Amino acid sequence: MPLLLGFIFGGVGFAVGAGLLGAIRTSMGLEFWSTDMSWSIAYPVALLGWLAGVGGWKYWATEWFGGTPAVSPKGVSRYFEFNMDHKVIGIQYGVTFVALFLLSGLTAMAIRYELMHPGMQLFNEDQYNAAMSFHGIGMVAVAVAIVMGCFGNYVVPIMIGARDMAFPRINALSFWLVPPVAITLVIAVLLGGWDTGWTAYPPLSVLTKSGQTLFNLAVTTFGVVSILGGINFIVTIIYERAPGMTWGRLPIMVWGTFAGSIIAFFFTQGFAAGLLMVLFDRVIGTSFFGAAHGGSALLYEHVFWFYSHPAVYVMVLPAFGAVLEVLSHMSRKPLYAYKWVVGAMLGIVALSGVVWAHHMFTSGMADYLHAPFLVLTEMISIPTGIIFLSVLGTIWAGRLWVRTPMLFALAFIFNFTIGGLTGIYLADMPTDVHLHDTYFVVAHFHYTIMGGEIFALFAALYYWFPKMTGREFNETLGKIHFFIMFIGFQLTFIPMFQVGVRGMNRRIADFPAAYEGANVWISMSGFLLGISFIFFTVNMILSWVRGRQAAANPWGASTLEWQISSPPPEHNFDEIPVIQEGPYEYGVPGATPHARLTGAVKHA
Amino acid sequence: MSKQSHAAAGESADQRTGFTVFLILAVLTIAEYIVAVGLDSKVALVVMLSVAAIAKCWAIVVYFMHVSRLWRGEEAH
Amino acid sequence: MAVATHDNAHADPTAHAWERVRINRLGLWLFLFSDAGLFALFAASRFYLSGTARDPHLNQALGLAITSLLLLSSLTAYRAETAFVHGNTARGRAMLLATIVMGLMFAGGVAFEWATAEFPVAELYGTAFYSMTGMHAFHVITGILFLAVVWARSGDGHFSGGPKVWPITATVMYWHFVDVVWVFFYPTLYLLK
Repeated sequence: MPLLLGFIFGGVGFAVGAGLLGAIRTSMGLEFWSTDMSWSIAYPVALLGWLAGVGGWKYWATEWFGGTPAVSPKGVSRYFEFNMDHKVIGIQYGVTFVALFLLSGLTAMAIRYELMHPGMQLFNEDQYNAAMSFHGIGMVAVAVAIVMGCFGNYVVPIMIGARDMAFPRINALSFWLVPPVAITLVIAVLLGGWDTGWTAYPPLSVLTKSGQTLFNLAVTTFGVVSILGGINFIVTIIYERAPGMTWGRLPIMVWGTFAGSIIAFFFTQGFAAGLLMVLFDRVIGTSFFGAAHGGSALLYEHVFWFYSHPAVYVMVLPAFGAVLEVLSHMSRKPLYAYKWVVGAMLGIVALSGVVWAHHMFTSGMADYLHAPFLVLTEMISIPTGIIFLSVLGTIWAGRLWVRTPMLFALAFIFNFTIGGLTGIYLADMPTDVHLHDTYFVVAHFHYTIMGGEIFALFAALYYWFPKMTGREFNETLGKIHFFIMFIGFQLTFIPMFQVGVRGMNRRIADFPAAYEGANVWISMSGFLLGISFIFFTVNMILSWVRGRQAAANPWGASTLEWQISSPPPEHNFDEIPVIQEGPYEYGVPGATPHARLTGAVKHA
Repeated sequence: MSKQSHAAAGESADQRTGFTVFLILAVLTIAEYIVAVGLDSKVALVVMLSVAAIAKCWAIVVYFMHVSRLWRGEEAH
Repeated sequence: MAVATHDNAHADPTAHAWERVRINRLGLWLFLFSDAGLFALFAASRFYLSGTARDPHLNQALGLAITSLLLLSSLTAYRAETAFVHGNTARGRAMLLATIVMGLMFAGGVAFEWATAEFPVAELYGTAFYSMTGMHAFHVITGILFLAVVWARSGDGHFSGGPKVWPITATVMYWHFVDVVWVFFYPTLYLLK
């Protein structure tokens, strides 16, 4: 019902925005409707309408005008409207982004079908661009937001002993901006798509069809989601920690989320600024990127990569956190070199902002920039190496409990190592000149983002599934999912390195016949990879609906979220817990438990 | 001295701070304008305007936006 | 320390309210910092594209006038907050109203300048000028809306005393932020040559 109201109000908002603009344009002697401008004006109004409709008015904004906010209901219906509980929002993020993940994955299947043979099979070139672009932005959005949005929201407040996030209403607001983003992108595809992938490089993005405008509007909104979410996590982790939860006792997932949030809040406006400039060029005729009046397309690449390189650390730092969490608990050993890992994460935050131009070695930027960006980029391998040292030290001689989440966490290590090592050839200017814009790059970032972040996502998903749903997942189906996905993934992306070295360009709908053999292989393996998600989806649905009741602490883990019932009660804790020891003291002689849940210290 | 008039005295002291800061901001702004009209050297202009802008920003952030409340709290005064 | 006061919070409603204000304050500062980054990138783009060059047709008198107006509105905003902090609702409301009026005049000044400016949007300087003043004006207008909401709600002593003043403080901080942006944009757009 609130969803319906959201759509109605959103539609009304769109009509009002477009109508007002049309009235002004008509009075100035112009045509009523101008696609780019009408969308740009109507879209924000539609957003406000949607937010009001899904509950933003009823539960929040009415207060500014002297009204009394309504009280949220308890049942299943609260998942379908504006709700302030961080656990509800976590699940909302999780379900929405898994759906978007599967949808973007389907477009990948279509892309692989198209690329199996030279010539055009399924698509024409325009449709190929639309599919490739949607796959790109859909997956980037999933990768940026799913670990933090879903598990960050659900688990981090519990882990630090808080009853909720610092800004529950902002939290709900950020989530409810996500569905319009997804819907707008789908509408853009249905209206003919856009041509520029997820990067929206001008001058093409300024000159191409109007789907680009919808893309820019939607992704700018997504930037707002990312910034608000980042701020919320930073303030929550600074101010909402339970007594005794010092910075040195924070579970590593919390540190990963904190580090990722700093990047999200500090850099995301770069993407927003770039997209707004493209929008200004398209709609009001500015010349940021129009060479005719002296504008510079290179400016966009600088502004865009200023965000979009740090963005990969927004994806991967919380993923590191989740993987280290799983590895430590399921190896039954203390997290090796905890303080060094924290330092490494903050080191990555610091370095992330000074490496962006390694995406631009072939762009024609000033030559003197090449060497510094090469060196700075290589320096990232130092903190990353420390994290890998911690990973190996943690599982070294541990009693590994190889359940599905552990399998995914171990696979993460394998994949991310390959992703990291192949990154060296792209950070080194001399090799990058040859490899730039080939399938080598595609393989590299799929190894880091899919092999790294998405495998970490599934580690986290299986690990916290019992906590979040109160049900056990099916271990057999989970393992089948893992093995098909892992094997399919390797078989798909290893050959891509090879065709990339042989010079096959990315972002193309057709290719020379010489590459056919490899592409048949890649596509077949890609379909195998796709099949694994059928097992995943079936497992999730069946287990959630009729899985066995999960115990409060099925993994015997020490962190706070496992010390309360599955799923946790409404405000997480009856009494605010007291933290007395670090979270990973497995087998440490004389260690007291991580937290005390009752009999908290009484204040005068 | 009643509590009421004590509060009023506190307020007028705070309001005076506001006027002083505004006066500084106004002088700096006028100085910026005069320098921009009169000065021909581009480099000197960039330097002087940057200094003036940073000074103005600092005054607003410290005295108008009370940045120190971030670490000292407001209730502590 | 925040951690130490956590349990106290529920016992003492005033302490709890102050705790809330402290949390909100950090959130607002982070938001403003993040927003400042957006403005900074536009200012940087202006220098990247056209150096410090400016169009000779600028209306310098109007520029100085609206700059002074915005500076003055920052003073009235400060006076409004100070008055509310000391429980002086009447003066606080008057000063809020003065801020709103000056904000509207500033927005009007920008609109007039847009209507009369002689340089096209497609030129490099026009690109920087219209996009930067436009984004700033958008923030001015949202600031006016926030000011209007707190002004309308301040009648019944709603925002008097201690932590209850926070909505006023937050709105006024946002307004000062808009002024800070203009402190940098004014020399960037009008004074450099």
